[in-house]
Amino acid sequence: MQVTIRDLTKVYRGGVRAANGINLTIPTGMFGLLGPNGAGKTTLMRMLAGILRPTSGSIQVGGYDGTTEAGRRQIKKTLGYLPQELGMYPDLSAREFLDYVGILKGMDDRKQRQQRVEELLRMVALSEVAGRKLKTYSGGMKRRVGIAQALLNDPKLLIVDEPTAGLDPEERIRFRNLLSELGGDRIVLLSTHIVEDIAQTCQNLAVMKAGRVIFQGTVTEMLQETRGKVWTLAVPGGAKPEGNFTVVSMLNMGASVQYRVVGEPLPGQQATPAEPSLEDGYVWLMREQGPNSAHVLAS
Amino acid sequence: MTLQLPALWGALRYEFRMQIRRPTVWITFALFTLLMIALFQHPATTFEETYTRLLKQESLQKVLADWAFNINNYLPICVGALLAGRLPRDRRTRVDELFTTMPTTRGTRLWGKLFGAMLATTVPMFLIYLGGVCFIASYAHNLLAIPLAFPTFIVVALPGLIFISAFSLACTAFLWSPLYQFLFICYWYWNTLWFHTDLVSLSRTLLSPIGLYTVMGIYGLNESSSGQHPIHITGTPLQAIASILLLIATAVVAMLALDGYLNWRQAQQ
Ligand SMILES: Nc1ncnc2c1ncn2[C@@H]1O[C@H](COP(=O)(O)OP(=O)(O)OP(=O)(O)O)[C@@H](O)[C@H]1O
Ligand SMILES: [Mg+2]
Repeated sequence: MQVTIRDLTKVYRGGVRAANGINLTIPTGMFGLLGPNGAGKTTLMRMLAGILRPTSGSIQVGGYDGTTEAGRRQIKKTLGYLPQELGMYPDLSAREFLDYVGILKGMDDRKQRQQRVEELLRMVALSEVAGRKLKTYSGGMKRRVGIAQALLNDPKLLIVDEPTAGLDPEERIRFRNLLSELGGDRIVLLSTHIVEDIAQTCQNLAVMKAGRVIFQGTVTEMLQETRGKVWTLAVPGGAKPEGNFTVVSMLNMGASVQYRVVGEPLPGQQATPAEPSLEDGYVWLMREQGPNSAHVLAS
Repeated sequence: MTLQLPALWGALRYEFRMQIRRPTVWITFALFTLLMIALFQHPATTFEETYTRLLKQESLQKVLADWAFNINNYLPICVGALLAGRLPRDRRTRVDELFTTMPTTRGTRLWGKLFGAMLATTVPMFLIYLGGVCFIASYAHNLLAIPLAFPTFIVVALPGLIFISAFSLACTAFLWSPLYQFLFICYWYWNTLWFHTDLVSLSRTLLSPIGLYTVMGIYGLNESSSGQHPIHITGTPLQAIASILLLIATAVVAMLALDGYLNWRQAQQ
């Protein structure tokens, strides 16, 4: 299966152009979506999930047209969606909530549905507490209920919007691994600000900024684009170096301070080339695209 | 609006479960009933006196209809008020958006919500009614009152309850629920003044949610049988059926409008 997005534009009421001519092709497997706050990641995902109507452009999921009512109905059958802010009924238990979601996903056979619910509760390690009301759950537990509800119908298209935000490192790693396992035979579209999450799990990624896709390719391609742009500078005394670059980190070495920068250092500065990381690549892309103009007003 | 029956039944069950678990539902009915008992503790109008007197004049069925009608004059106020907020809650907890990504249509969920939440809220009302029925059965020394009580309640009270429940869901799509509750209570107060024939009241029309035409037309309640207020109007069985159908049809229209409005609003985002 493949998702094809062409010239997708969304102008919210009030004139915010949150998606501005997006072109994307998403193949089977894990696909990362990176971008700063307000880049339009959630907007794109909500359009894919059939919550928002695009202002213009087209969405093809498998053979279905995501801009028509009939197409959306078909897409919903193979969709799993974990929203950035998960909605749940606080006074239902996890088991009840998942059962209800199963019903709404059209799993009419009661026995099979209950089996599937128990299976997923085990998978996200919530079997022990599945009878407790959701309002007593911690943020990480709620997120696990969230992924369980998304997976109930074994979706071919799984959309997860910042699933690791607010999780502790261990929980984040567990979540990441879980998603990687799922990426085998389906599309997993994962949005995040955490570059590392993508570096660890995704082959393909896209970077968004101000409603546009400013990069699409593989992780290796993104690293290649950044090669030759990353430097380390050792500055005695630690005065902040001047130049056409962005400081990504600084390390105090006692007598001098070692800066890691992305950009073009001045000839006089003793800069040594460094191997780029995905984070450097992200910083480079953000630099290249100018200031963060998230709100492009429709004229 | 396409309905998916298994999902409708599932939504109904879960809406019922969530509503009946709310302590507010039970507390509201308990307080309201205490208030009603306090208000009607006038020596001449105690429950026992009224109904032993009525039982001497009228058939058991008529007496039960009168009791159902009395209940239906006051307790729907709790049903309407307790159903307001059920729809905004889906938006507040953000489940609405999540459920939109699932194959079950919004219309199916709305009907499930209407019937599930309405039935759950009707349970305390029905128990209070049944309590009165038990007393009536004991005054009449006739256990037949218990099985008769069920159809009587369904015919007298249910159409009006469906009507007000549909409106409580639909209106809170665009009205702040406390404001709706206030307006609804005002409306109901006006409803219960149906016996003031000099006042204009919806309750004296076929669209009477308290079941005025039903008790007159089907059970033959009239001036002589009414305990408190003499009824100056009469109803035929045909009018009673028309009233029931009209209430239900209006509820269906309100639900269809609600579904259309919510879909339109989603498309407007
Ligand atoms: N319902 C809405 N109405 C109007 N504007 C909106 C709405 N939702 C989002 N926006 C605007 O659209 C732009 C993109 O928002 P979006 O939530 O898609 O970004 P994002 O990339 O998901 O950001 P974050 O990383 O913070 O989640 C922002 O400028 C935001 O203010
Ligand atoms: Mg977002």
